[in-house]
Parts: sequence; C-alpha cells; structure tokens
Amino acid sequence: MGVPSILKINEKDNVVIALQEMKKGKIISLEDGRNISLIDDIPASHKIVIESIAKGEPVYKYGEVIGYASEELVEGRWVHAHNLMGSETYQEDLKNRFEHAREEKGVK
Amino acid sequence: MYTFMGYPRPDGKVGIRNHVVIMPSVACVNGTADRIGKMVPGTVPILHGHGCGRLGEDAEMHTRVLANLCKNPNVAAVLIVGLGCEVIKGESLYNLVKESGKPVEFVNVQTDGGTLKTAEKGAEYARKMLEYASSLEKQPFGIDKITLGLECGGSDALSGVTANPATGYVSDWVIENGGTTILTETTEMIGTAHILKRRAVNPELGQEIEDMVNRQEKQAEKILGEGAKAIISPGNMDGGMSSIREKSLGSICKAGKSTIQGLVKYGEVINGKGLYLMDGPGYDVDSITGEVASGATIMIFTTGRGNPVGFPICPVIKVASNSKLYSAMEDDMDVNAGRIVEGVSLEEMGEEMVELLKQIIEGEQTKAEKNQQDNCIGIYTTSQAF
Repeated sequence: MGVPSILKINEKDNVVIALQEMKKGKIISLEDGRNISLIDDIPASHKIVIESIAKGEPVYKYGEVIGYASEELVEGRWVHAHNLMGSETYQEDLKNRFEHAREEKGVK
Repeated sequence: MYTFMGYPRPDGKVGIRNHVVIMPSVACVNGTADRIGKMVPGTVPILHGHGCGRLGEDAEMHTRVLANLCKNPNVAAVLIVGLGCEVIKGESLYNLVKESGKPVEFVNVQTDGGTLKTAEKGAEYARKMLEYASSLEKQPFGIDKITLGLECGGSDALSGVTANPATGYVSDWVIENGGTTILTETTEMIGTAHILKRRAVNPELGQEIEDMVNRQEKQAEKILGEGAKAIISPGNMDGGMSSIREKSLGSICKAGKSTIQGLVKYGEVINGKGLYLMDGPGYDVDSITGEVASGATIMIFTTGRGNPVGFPICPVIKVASNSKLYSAMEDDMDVNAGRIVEGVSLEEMGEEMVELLKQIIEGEQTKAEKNQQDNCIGIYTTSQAF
C-alpha cells in the first residue's frame, strides 16, 4: 500500500492536503474510491480540490470554512490565496455570505 | 498516579528546574548582570531590552513580566540588578519578587559604586544563592503542580494536522491529571472566536474571549490595513496556509478539546487549574516570555519550518510537524510529529509526547537546553519608546 500521499482531515472537507510536491497530470486515489487527475502542480503541504466548488461557495478544512472560492474550483485544482477569498476575518465571512446571497437573488 | 520529583518553593508552587536568576531592571545594566553571570557560572542572567523609555500601560506590563519571570517556580533565587534612574526601579522589582518568599537580593549600579563594584557585590550574593539552590531537595509531586505553555512558530499546513493535534492530546492529558495549560497568540485565534466562545466554562468568559479576539483583529487591521493578511508570514504561505482562518484553526487545536477556564493578560500569573487563554502576540519570543511570566514551567513548541529558540528558565520541547524538517534540523527537534502522516496514529504520537513530557519534567534536557539555544527573551509592547 505504501506511504499515503494525501491527507483528508475531516469528513466534511472538500479539499485534501498533498503530503509531497505533485505534478499536473498525477492521479490521486481518494478514500471513497474515486480517482482524480491533478490539473495543476501542487506544492508540498498545499490543498487540492476533491469536490467541485462553485464561485463564492465555501472551502472546508478541519470541518470548518477556511474561505470561499473566488472562481470556479474544479476537482484536481490547486487551492491557495490566489483563488481563495474573503475569510481573513469572521466579519468578512458574514459579509461574504450576505454578498453571495445578494448576488444569487440578483440584488445590486 | 504519576508523580515526579520537583523543587517545592516557599509559595507552594513547584519547579522542574532550579535556576538562580540575575535580573537587570533595565537594559542599561545588562552588562553588569552579564558580568555577574560570567563571574558566577551556573547562574542565569536574563538580559532584555526594556525597563525604561515607556510609561503607563507598557511600563505596568513590563514590570509585571519582569517580576513574574523571577517568581516562576523554576527559579530558586533572584538577584536584581538596578541602575537608579530607570522607570522600572530595581527596588520595585525586588519588593514584588520578595512576595514569593524565595531568596531575593538587590544591587544598584548608581549607588553601589559603578558597574565593577556592583558586579563584585552581586557576585557575592549570587554565589550564596547557588549554594542555597544546590542544598534544596526535590520532593514527589503530581501533574497538578505543572503548568504547560503551548506555542507554535514557523507553521506550515501540516502543523495543524500533525504537531498541533498531537500537542492537543498532551494538553488534554495534563488537564485530566489536574494541571494547567496555557494557549496564547491571540492573532492566531482570529476567525475562531465563535469556536472558543463555545468552549468557555461560562457565557461571561465566552464573551470576554470573543471581545479579546475581536479587539486583536481590529488592532491588526489598524496597524496593517489591507496588509492584515501579513499576519500570515511569507513562511506560512509557502508552507500552504491560504488564510488566517485556516491558520487559526490549525493553531487552536494545540489546546485539545478541554473547556476554557479563564483568560489572563499578557504575563499575568495563572493560579487556577485547567486550560487558560493568555492575551498576547503571535511573535514567538514575546509569546514564550509572556507564558513563562504567567507561570509556565514547561513548554511545547510546534514548528513546520524550524524555529530552534528555547527560553532561559523553562524547557521548551520542539515538535516538528513534518519529517523533512525533522531530518533537516535533527539537532534542534525533540519530536517528529510528521510520522502521523506516515502511519503513526494521533493517539500513539500523543502518548509518545506524554512520555517525553515526563522525561523532561524529571530533568532530561530538551535539545534547546542542550544546545544552549535558550538565552533570549522578548517582551511585548504596545507603544513606542520615547
């Protein structure tokens, strides 16, 4: 079986952690049996999307929201500060949810 | 029940080290304190950059920290070296430390004839204190007499997955056995105020905690503006931390699952049992200093990038979050928690760390103590010097 190459911390998480540096195109195997092809190079200790996340939707790690997708994040995408937004503060979290809700309802 | 042999102090607290401290009241007499330390090997001069140039809240905080460092249970006896014109008078420190009942003496450069004569006088006292310290006999005590300080520095994305959860296991063990643990680094609680509030022993404390974290957040915004993102250092980002919230979640899991019993100011002594929060900065050196002033007699410091710093009067156990770091700095790391992602379970790693904690409590040295990477303190300040 060998040394695990990815780690999922909490059941609720939609990202996993790459335990080693990984190249675009590598296939990773998830606990649920799915295989995902990486569409970016992933630096060691960084996060990989394992379930597509629409723009504005939460990214979960530790079973809690660590931020929101600033663009659509497909499976196999590298997640980091460049495509994760608005979660530096709890207040920002609330603001973002409100903004997201407004957008959904088409309110300016 | 687990017992260890420790040093009983006159105020009822227990030390796991037995230091004779030379404490300058102000940086201007660091030279004299250092000289005494060299004349009397085995004593511990605690050199620092403060003691004057600030008034009000900072002067109060620094006085509290300097005095409480001397009162720490790992300290057997204290020699205060004063100057004469400083804001934090040597005599004030002397009076505060005397409250602990441990032997304290005071020399003053401006009234004892200058640095050389003061050093001679101080060395006399220091020699007697070393004799006193060696005469002390250890007695058996339980973990209820231990205060464990928690710290993380140079974190990477694995810190919150390996080293910090394993540390949380140890923290819970200490508390289950009647001891005290300190969680600090308020900036690293930003984004988790709602979680910590939930874990407080009563709603009033929960509110205090939420207020403290929000205050810290506003302070960060005020100082850093948009650059409040700078709360994550370049090292953190390279290591995979993408947001403060992510970093904070990974940080607070050092404190395990225990209920939070109280909240203290930076460097304020904790007298109760259980998990306490100390309001303080994320900056490692200042943070450790505050925790030892609050009474920590042993520390666990997790790191992903490799911070080797210890502390003069408190053993600091270094836990590497990943195996790459552990091999790169094996001389400085005490534990490799990176093994958690290589098949070792959290419980196994936690148990291993509990055993190491016991060994260090019983007198085994940490790497930082062995390598003498422990000669530095730093004290938090909120204002500029004038």
